[in-house]
Amino acid sequence: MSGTIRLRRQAMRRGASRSGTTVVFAVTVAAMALAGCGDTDNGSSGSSGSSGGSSSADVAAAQKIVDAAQTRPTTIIQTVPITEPIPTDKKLVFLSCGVETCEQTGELLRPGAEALGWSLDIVTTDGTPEQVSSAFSSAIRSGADAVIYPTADIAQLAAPLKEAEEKGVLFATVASLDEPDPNSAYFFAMGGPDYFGKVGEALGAKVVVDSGGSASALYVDLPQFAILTPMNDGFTSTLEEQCPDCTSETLDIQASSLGKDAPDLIVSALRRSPDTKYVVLSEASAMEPGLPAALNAAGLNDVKILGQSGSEQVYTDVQSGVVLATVQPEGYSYSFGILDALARKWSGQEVIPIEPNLLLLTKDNIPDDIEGRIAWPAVEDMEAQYLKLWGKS
Amino acid sequence: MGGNHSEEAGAQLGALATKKQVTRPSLLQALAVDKIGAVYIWIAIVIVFSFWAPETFPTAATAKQILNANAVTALAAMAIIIPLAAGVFDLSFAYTMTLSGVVVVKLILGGTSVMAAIVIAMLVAVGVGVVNAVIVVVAKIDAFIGTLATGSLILALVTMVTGGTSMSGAEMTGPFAKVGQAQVGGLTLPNVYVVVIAVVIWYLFEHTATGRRLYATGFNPDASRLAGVKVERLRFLSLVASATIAGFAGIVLSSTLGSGSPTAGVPYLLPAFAAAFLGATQLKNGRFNSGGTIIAVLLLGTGTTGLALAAAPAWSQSMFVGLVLIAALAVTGLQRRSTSSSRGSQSDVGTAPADHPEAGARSSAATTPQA
Repeated sequence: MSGTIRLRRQAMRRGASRSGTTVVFAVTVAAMALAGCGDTDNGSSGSSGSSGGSSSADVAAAQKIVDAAQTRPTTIIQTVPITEPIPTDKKLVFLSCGVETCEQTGELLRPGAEALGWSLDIVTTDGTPEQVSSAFSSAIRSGADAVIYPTADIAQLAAPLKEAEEKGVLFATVASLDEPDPNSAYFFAMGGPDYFGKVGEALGAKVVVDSGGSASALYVDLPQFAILTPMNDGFTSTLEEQCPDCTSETLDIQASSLGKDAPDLIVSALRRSPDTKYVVLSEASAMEPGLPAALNAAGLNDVKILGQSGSEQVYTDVQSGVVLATVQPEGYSYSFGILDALARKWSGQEVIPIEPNLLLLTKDNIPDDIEGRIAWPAVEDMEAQYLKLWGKS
Repeated sequence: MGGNHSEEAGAQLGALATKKQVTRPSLLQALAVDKIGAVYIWIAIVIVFSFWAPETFPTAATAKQILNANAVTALAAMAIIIPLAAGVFDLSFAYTMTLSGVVVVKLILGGTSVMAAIVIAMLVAVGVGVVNAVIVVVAKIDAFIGTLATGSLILALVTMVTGGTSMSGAEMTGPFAKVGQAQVGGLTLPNVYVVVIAVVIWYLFEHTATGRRLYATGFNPDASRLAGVKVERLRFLSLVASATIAGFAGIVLSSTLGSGSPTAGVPYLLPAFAAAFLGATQLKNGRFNSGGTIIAVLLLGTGTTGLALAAAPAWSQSMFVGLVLIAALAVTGLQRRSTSSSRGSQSDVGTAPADHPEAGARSSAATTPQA
């Protein structure tokens, strides 16, 4: 009897295992079928090459864009001095979005704020709409005269912006798709779609020049960050205009892949298109870690990496030539530009919209002091030039 | 009654040992669907993708890509199957990975030799394991919450060390890079680490009394305690072992990334548990084991890489992993319930799993008791 019971138990366990295996198999097949039935075009294709050769004029035009982007400017974009007295008893609150670039941008405000006699509080958030809204409202209640938050989605900040409007608190942002209204609380923004279009243009031109007018590129995008879309548009349109022989493909990856399987996804995309020799990262500081190692392990050592944004790691790789080029995030331009706009607003002068500088860093022009850097002032004496405009030097 | 429990528990443990000695499976049994069903699914996936992406998938380069891309995930999964076998969750392992990674990078950038930096980072990881063990075993705080809390503390420490930003430098391309990036026959070194650790864990679980006691502890801690098993000591050591392996995984990860990132380990939290639970449905019918875990890692990795090579939409990888994980949990639940019901009215050893606080977590983990 005990033998019969034992056999029955074993049979029940095997039955459960077989049923389970069938379930897993069915689910696996269903998952792959769903994936196969889905849209297999995982990004817009860029320009397709024609059979004609690329004229030297195309490369020359691209070279001009590259030369301009790689040359460190000597003057800031803002040229109009502030002639009215700038109030000194102002309190700024910077809301950090929890991302590395964000954190350091806040600190870049400090020297200019101190020169203007303003206080600066930096409030950490995790970037979620709830925390940002809450921190914004807290900042208003704490007596802030201006709140700054990068990459703002204005729709998500409707409630605190209304509060800011009522209390006369100003709001400024950078890298946002939403246009400001100089007569409202949200009065100023820098680094919008036009700027990111120019970033894409610079990267496209660099690919054209480096390849001699015939390249296949993979543009890696983060669709969750809509401000990066104009950069893709600028990149692909530059390839279409400057390089008839060039092709590009877009790979969309999810933010959840960053730091984990993003390199593997990029390697897979490159293996699908063996002619692709350029990878353009829309957010290099997040996408680049692990990518050189993954390319090396896959034997794709001849693929060149370019991108937008930077970190100590990215700059180290630019310095060593592992990364061909990156457009640095313009934290300094943003910081001084926002301070300048606030100074104009509070002194009663017209707020002049300006765009940040654009600097394409390569092995040849990247400064040596990389440690702890996310960016350098595009104009070496940017602070001094702004102080002069403000009458503080 | 207590004496009867003790005798039955001892009989159960003895049966475990005895069964091992007299019931070696035949080759057919070893290759049965209920033992290695995931392998057959894996073969099916390989066949499907070979037709779906014929230019790229069925190549040696793909095999290397899958192995290289998933080695760190395998290391992370190896870290957690030891405490899971003992019926304990360790949710802090991902943060321990992050911590050891930033510690080793910070030390190397500060001028410490690579070997010394690795040793110190490993000691830090062991320290985390001890803290976890004290919280869970000595203070008797539920492992799920306790290790989650530890993870939060580790995160604070990581932010203190890094200032919230990634750390890197030219030193990352020197000897330290070899830890995670050196290749052996086209495979990166982390694959070798996975094999070594997997073999060690396999030997521990299958060929040592400690391993059997670990499983017994996970199956029924009260009965095991009555049978003389040092349950608390095993759980203590399992958490220390988990943190140690996680610390090593973090060092390997930072070498692969070329930086010490304050968020490096977090993305491995779900994939590691997915692999561990899926692996528990293989080879040992509901028991966490290293071989099944490797099969699971490769199954999941093959699926996601195959989908990428086939240019499937971006959401497909996450859907694939999520659905397979749900299915795996359902399977282990089925196995566990069928095993429990097959015992019938015959008195089980010790208390039922649901009576123990850890078993509350185990029931969601679906650790199947095995005779």
